[in-house]
Amino acid sequence: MMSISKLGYLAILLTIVLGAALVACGMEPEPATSPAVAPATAPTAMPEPTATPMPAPSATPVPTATPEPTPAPTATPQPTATPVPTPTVIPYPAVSGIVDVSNRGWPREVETTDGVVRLDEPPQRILSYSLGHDEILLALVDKSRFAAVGPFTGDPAYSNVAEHAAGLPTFEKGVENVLATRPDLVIVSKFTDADIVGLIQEAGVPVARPALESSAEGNISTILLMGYMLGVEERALELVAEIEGRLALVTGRVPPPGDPERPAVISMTRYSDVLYAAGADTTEGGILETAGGVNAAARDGIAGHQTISIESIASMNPDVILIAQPVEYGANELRDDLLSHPALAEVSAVKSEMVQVVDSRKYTTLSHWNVRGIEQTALTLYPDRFEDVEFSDFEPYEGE
Amino acid sequence: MRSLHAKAAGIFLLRTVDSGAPNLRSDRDGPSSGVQAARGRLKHLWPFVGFTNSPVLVKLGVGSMFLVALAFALAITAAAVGPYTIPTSNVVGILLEQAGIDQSTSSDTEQAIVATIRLPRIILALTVGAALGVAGAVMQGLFRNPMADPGIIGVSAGGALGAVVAISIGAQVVLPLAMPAMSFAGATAALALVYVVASIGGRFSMAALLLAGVAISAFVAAVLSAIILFTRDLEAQREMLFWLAGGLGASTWADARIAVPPVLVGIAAAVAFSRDLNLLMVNEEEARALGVRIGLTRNTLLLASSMITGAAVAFSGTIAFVGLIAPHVLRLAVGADHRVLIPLSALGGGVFLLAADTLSRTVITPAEIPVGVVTALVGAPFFILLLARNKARASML
Repeated sequence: MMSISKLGYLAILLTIVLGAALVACGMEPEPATSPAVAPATAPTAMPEPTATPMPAPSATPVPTATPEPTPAPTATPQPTATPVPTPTVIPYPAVSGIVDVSNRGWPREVETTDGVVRLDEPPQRILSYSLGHDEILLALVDKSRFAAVGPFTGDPAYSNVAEHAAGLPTFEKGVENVLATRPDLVIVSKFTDADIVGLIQEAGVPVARPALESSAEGNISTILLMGYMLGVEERALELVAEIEGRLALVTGRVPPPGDPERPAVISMTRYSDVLYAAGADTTEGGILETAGGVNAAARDGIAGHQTISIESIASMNPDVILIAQPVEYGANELRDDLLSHPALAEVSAVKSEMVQVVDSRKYTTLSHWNVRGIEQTALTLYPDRFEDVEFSDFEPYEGE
Repeated sequence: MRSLHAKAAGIFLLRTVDSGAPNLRSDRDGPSSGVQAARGRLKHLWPFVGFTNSPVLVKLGVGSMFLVALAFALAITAAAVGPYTIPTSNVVGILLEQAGIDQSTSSDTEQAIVATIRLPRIILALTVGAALGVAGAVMQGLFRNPMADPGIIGVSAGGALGAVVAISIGAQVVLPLAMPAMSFAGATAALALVYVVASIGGRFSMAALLLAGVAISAFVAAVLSAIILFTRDLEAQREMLFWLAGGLGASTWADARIAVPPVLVGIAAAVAFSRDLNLLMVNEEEARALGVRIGLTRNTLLLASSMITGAAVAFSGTIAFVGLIAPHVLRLAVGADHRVLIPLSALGGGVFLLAADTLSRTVITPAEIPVGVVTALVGAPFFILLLARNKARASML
């Protein structure tokens, strides 16, 4: 038999539970108080805004350095009958991933492999997983718009933007570490697990996965997509124009594909005493071909990065060997070994001492910086044709 | 006697299929039915089987001659093929010149490719294969476990750890042989640790050694993963991963000169104790009664197999399947007598790895496939086929 005191406890307990339920009903998630951006696919029952604090738009206004075309410039109506100038919305290419390119206002949507992402406002705290994305991002937007950069972005051995990225915070692996930087847009690489993407999305942060291609030309559409995502279309168009101009300069001066004048080139590395050559469908291979060379490894049937032997080099007999490996990790030693190996004494590249250590960062990254690799290679292969040209690095975005 | 053998070494999977346990008295009491069966198999290979009273010697002699001939033919083939096309006559000329028999008229490039690239690689493939084959045969016997291989007591993992540590501290940049040296030290340290753990409590047993080996292997694997994950240097990470993938692509004469002596010494020690291993496999008490010094035999065999595994891992990385396949295939052919099995496992392991390595560098020329991929791709189906055929044969009897 239940005693009175127990009944009393029960009554108190019931009261507490009912009270809590009522309070809970009153704490229905607020209708997006101010997340700067929100994924279109994010379930509404998912985390409350307070769980993943987002910067309020008022706290971080859209930088004036990237002015957006105002959709309704009727603020200055013309009193006379003179024709009203229509707002100049810069035409933008409808690249893959932009859901509706005619929508130049906010919110806007993009679609990458993880689904449609809705961006309510220009992202102000961007975090990317890969070096290639960071290199593109740093060319498009101001450093102040980064929540964090990837672990290699500040490393001068691999990054083409290490100097510019100095001082930016980096993030450690793990979803919690990513969320701790309070990003409002996370850009993941093609190797990022779908589970990780899902966890970040569940925390209310939009995640996009713009594809990075292994060729400079292939990344043009990625740059345009990222420019649209970030609301910096004009800057993206400028960068693309620069890339196309640089590529046109090189391809206009080197022999066309199939021309017998093109030298046979291989790009190689050595790790743990094992030699690797870059064959077809590699960044280095694309660079060699665009710069006016014939990728001897691809020509002889190698696809991707494959192990080769010294004797394979002898059989390919390249005119030029490029060593795309950091100097601090044995590039010069590899060059010396190749030049002194008795089995390679008759190889054209060795005889003419055209075994060159190149700036590997420009050959191994996946961004517009590959264009610098193309320029560097073209200069190596055809120095006479570029005597009047002084190639320079891409400039990072420094604001208007 | 036969049933006693089978009971004592009962978990030997293939023993139930093949001719039976090692025949301890075969030299004195004449051939067992197992040996007769082996003779039957060998008769078509070697016509003089019946002319001798020592079936062990016959099996050893015939098997050795066959495998040596095979190794020789394979070595010539391996020297003749590769991405760089060299006429066979030139290859023969270069080999004769290397043997000091004739003067080659081949070009300098051809001579350099055969003499400085292909030949040391062939020698190292034979050496590493022999080491892994013998280590596998010894481990399977000592542990009475058909799945035992050089990795089972943590020796391979220890070797790998040594190499990875060498890379992480940059030792191989300062001293060219630092990596193989540290790999060998790692293998030896792993063995010592396993031995100490297995001896805790005063009484040593093979079961405890096996369990300790599994535990230490798992521990070392975790340490390896941690080192690779926490290495901030991307290039060092690459070095580690590429080394762990294994391979013989970077073989030099210097490597061969260092690897061959310890492997030969280890194999010689294993052969010397092969009869005692036969007795140990039956029963320790019986072996003791027959004069076998249990501790000495066991320790010598463990040390020898670890030493040769360490030497192999140091120069080739971890190559799977050789230590498992070679002894099993040979056991199916010549029986389980370690006096025959161990030396033939050396030859068979060498032949298997040389064949696999030759395939690895010629199938997608001018690129190469990791030799471990070939040993598994070729070895596993072949092994399954042998198992299936012998099981079918056994079920018909």
